[in-house]
Amino acid sequence: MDKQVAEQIIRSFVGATMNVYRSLTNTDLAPSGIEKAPSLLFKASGVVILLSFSGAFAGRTILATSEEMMEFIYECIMDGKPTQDDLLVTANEFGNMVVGHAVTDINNRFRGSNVRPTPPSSYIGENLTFFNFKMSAYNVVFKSQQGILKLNVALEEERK
Amino acid sequence: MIEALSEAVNDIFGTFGVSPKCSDATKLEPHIIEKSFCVVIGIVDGGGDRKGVLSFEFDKPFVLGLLAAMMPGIDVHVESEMGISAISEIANMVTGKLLTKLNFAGMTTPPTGVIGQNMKGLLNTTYAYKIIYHWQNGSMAVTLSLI
Repeated sequence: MDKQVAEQIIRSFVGATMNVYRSLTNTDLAPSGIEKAPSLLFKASGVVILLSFSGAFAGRTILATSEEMMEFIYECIMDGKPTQDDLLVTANEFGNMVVGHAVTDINNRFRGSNVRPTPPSSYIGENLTFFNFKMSAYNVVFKSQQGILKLNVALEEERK
Repeated sequence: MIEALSEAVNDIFGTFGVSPKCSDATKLEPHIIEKSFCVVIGIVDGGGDRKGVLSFEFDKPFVLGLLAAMMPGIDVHVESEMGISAISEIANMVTGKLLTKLNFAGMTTPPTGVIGQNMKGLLNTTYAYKIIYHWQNGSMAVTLSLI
């Protein structure tokens, strides 16, 4: 995939993540620069959201954070202490909003690309490892008062 | 849909000489995963109106047997890149076959392999159909949520 196209797709996800986070929590995320991931393996513990999309460009985006930060998001929109199931549902909804915003932005940038998201999935656990093949991956790290949110975007190198 | 899924699994696994015994499909809501080794593939039609998720959950004995059937004579570690790549590919093949059987004019996302400890996953908030397969002292669960 062309490097400039990849960068615009990643920027769509960065912008969407920041906007959705701000709209839900009324606080800001500070992003780092975009770095090429050294490996196609992505490892994290805590809460991970997997956002997949297909069309003229296909790939997947991972958002990874701690249970504490996801609890913070939950508490901004709901009352009470969340269970693990509540955190998974919150993560799914957060991911759904992010991928919706990002894909709209991608389709506006690249007319006719017909990129579509599939349902988001979310995971809680330790030493979670995500594998993708024949893809190029990029990392962005967001910092906030509540902790760190990692974004990893993997894009298919060639669309079949 | 369940019949097509079952046929797709049997067709693809059969090409590697693997014939697992399956249980009846069960309906669950939402689409969750419980095993610590899975492959997830998204499905979406061109208009974005119908979308879903197909998941393949494995336990270790099933994966070991499957890798031995796919790559006879080669010792592949279950959680190695080669092992997960091979399992992702078979999941991709089943998904492609399923879409053909369903006459579903859509697209799939690249497969994502996921492993973890004490892992719990919510793959879709809608209902899903799950079929469990048993083979060589191991099991695999194939779950489809598509609306």
